[in-house]
Amino acid sequence: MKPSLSKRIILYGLALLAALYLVVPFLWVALTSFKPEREVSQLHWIPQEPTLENYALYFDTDNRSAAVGAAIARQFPRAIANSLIIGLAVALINLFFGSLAAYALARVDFKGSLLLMLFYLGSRSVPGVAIMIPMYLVIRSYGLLDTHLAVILAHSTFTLPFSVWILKGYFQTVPLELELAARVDGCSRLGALFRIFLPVTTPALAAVGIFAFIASWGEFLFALLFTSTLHAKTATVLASDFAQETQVPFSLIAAGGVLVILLPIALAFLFQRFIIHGISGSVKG
Amino acid sequence: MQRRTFLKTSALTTLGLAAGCAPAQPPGVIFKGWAYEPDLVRQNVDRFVQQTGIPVAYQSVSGNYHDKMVALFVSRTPLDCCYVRDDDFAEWVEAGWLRPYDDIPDIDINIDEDDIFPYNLESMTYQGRRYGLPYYTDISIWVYNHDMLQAAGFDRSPTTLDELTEQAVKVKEAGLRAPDGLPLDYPITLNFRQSPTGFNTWWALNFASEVELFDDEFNPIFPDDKDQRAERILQWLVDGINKHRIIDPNSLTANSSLRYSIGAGRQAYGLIDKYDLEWINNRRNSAVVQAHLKKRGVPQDEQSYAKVLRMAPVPSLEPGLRGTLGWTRMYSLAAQCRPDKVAEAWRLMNFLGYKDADGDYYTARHWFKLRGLGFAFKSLLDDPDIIAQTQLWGDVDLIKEQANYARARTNIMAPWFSDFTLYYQPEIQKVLLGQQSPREGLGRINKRCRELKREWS
Amino acid sequence: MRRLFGSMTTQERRDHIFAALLNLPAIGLICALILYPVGISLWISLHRYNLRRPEVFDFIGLGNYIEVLSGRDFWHSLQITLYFTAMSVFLVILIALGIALLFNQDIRGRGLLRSLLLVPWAVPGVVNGLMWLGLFGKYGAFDTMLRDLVALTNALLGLEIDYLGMASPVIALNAAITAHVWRSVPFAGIVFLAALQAIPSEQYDAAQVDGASDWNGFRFITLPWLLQPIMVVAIFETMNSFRAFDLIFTLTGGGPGDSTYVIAWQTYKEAFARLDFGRANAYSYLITLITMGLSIFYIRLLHRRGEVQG
Repeated sequence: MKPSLSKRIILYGLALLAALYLVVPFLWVALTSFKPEREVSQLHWIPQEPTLENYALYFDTDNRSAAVGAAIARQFPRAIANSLIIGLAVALINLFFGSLAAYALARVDFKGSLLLMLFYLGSRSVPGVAIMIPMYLVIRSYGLLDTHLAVILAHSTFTLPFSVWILKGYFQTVPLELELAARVDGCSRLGALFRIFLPVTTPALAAVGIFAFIASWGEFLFALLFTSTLHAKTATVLASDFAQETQVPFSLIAAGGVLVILLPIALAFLFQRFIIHGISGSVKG
Repeated sequence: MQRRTFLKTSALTTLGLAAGCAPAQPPGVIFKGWAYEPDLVRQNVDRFVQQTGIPVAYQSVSGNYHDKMVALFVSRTPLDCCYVRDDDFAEWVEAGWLRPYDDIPDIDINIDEDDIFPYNLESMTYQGRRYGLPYYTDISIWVYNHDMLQAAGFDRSPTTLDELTEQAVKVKEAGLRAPDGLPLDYPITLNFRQSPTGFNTWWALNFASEVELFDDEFNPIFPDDKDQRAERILQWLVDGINKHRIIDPNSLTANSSLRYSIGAGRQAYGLIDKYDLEWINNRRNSAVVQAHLKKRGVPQDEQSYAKVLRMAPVPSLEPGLRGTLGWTRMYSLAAQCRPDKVAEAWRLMNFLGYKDADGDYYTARHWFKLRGLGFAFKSLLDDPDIIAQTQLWGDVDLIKEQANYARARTNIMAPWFSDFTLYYQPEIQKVLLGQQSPREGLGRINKRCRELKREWS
Repeated sequence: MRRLFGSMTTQERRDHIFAALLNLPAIGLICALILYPVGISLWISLHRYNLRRPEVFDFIGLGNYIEVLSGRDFWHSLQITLYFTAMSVFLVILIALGIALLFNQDIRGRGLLRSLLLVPWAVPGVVNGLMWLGLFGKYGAFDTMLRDLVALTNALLGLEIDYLGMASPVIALNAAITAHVWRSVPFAGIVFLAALQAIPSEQYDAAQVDGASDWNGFRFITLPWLLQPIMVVAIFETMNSFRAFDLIFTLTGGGPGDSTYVIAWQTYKEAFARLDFGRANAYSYLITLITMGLSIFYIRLLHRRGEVQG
């Protein structure tokens, strides 16, 4: 039954408001990225002399530009590559180890499972500031400072609890008969898990993978702590280089901000259906 | 997938990740600094390598330099030489993280200390031991927008705080506007944002009125210092913000955005860092300068600078008093410097922070030329090139004068200095917000100083 | 071994071991990178340890905790944090729920809207702080938009109010909350949206046949379904708010005065400005205890409603 016209108008109106709420603050950043330095602190939102010079600095690998912040901007492509590598690795780890843990929790009814869930959840209640230095010491003692692996491991610890929770919920909705049939046919337990079970849970896997990727992409405190050279520096850390450098105009930072969110937004746009479907299956359980 | 294959694959992957990941430790002196212009730093470092043949591994440190360095020092990550701010200096020496240079065997320390400004030299020495050589240094200066003052009927900024109040009120009432049309609501902007290196304004104003905040043993004298000047200065600030409304309340949150604000024409007076003046008087950055030059029909490529913002001594409580704040950023050897690298690290420090192989203050000169950063060497102020460049945007004579009487924060050498910073900043902000009186605020800070001094003795 | 597994069949025992093994990597990672540092952290919190006097490492038991709990700083920041957290959790749930309900409706461009939902989450933290500073600060976006309105009000009522921006303690704290909420809405929104999609449409159809109104449909079908997701979001969001730190760092720096000194900020200051690691770790433990306590409270609430399987 189609809602009445007045209802539809209200609905669209509210939806528009919601969209504005989500987008407009960043719109200001996006617009500033097209302003020349002189216009940065001026009133108007729309640049009077729009320019692409801020973006150019990010891809300007040869020119020794004298502009303040150009050196940092030039590190950008490499930093994005690092973020990509780390994000993908974190997503894969979440998918792999998260699935294993969630499968165990979903299929096996053992006493410790609530405690385990609490353990995973509890690990999220520790403030980053507290464990920063000890974690730094641990990473250093393994010789992992300034490596991708350090950041990958750190990010995985933050994202696993949520992944396990989502996957567990979804896994519980998959009928047991599926694996039982496979086992009857002579498949091993792990074999059944990988070949029969997981393919059915693709939506949840997609959701978890993307969530983990985006969470890793945006994280900055630990990426900052563990990396120092361009070897493993991520894009968000580069953005913080800017913020510390008080002389850098916000227009340049804004351009960086825009470049950094392009990929996650694109992913969100392409996969939003999967994400929601995956999580919804989990909640159903 | 067979279980065996599965296990093998995971093991191999993990090994592969771990192995292929760690970057090799580069040879040479390990040198780190905060991420200001890493390309320019690299240029200077390359010049050193070229002149001496000593390899250097330079890294710029992202994020909050202080916090990152703490992690580095605590974990004893390899480090030979690094930047140090004078605000952190005492703390880092006390923690045992820095190494003095006055006891390195077989090196030639040929530093002409007479050519270094006194406040710089003091900031790099701790309990008689020499630790640092200057990276850059600068002072707080008072500037005013000449065009705006003229439009309101004035010629220059006054020398005393009371006269300043009168003038600023009249400027406010003149109804001036910034180039983008926004009215001048608050003619004066200052810097009171909480930060470990912040509150330059408070120190500069106190020094300008020759206030002694601490005695030689770092005992607090305020609020009963001579003529209660510290209290009167705070009162002037409070009135400026709340009563006369001539001081921008945004001063509590602004930091470096001060120069953007002044450049956009939001205010007519400000207390800024000297090197910001070079930025503000450049038409590329500043709307007021662009408007000024456009009005006089000066084409874009003909002239970059115009002295729209002019320098004046920092205003004081009474005529005849003068002073200002200066700060130092230095190079220092790390305590964890590898023994076989000490001499080489010293040479690097010497090159960057003093003279190069040709006996010239090359690095200091280079920073000034490119970014207008201040230097610690008196003789450079007589250098014709430097004078010519400075004249484009600043007042060379006034700079000379101020550099000579500038002072570092009085208790910066106390081991409890950062605890003090953490405490006094919110307290002063509360005074400015009207949440407590100047006398109360100063009283509380005094009490805390005494506690800290006891804790650390 | 026998006691551990009690009176179980061989198969059950094998199942348990299998389950434990599968969880091992995840547990192992968390133990190495979180549990171990947390252990060190606890150990340090029981000592007097200030980096500026590195030779001193005296065991003082609960000394740090007593100092912290009897000082004004802790309670002041706890108060601010509780306000921050309560407002954030409330607003996040409210806004995210509203958005989820909206985006669940059959309107055109639904796909686009849903992908827009992730925008706030994708913005890197540092840019986020600077962005809100630009919006809320003096001479920022809100200031210029409200300028005329404020002038009018002043003229009409003979007042002299002025937009103080981040220099006002009230605006600063609420700006921080606004920024935090904006960033947290995507996660909650997605969870709620997913939950709404999971509700079988037959339930609504049945209700309609029975002549129920939209509001009743919401109250008796939608809301019960959403109870668990709301609880989960509440848990995650409470933890996030308690730990909120980098926002404060870029947005307010703790000020003005000490009006945005949330507890994570206080901890940071103890650790990195005062270099007092003993006390800083005591602070973090207190935070951890509080957030764990709150989560256990939420979970028991869930348990009681029979929503959580063991």
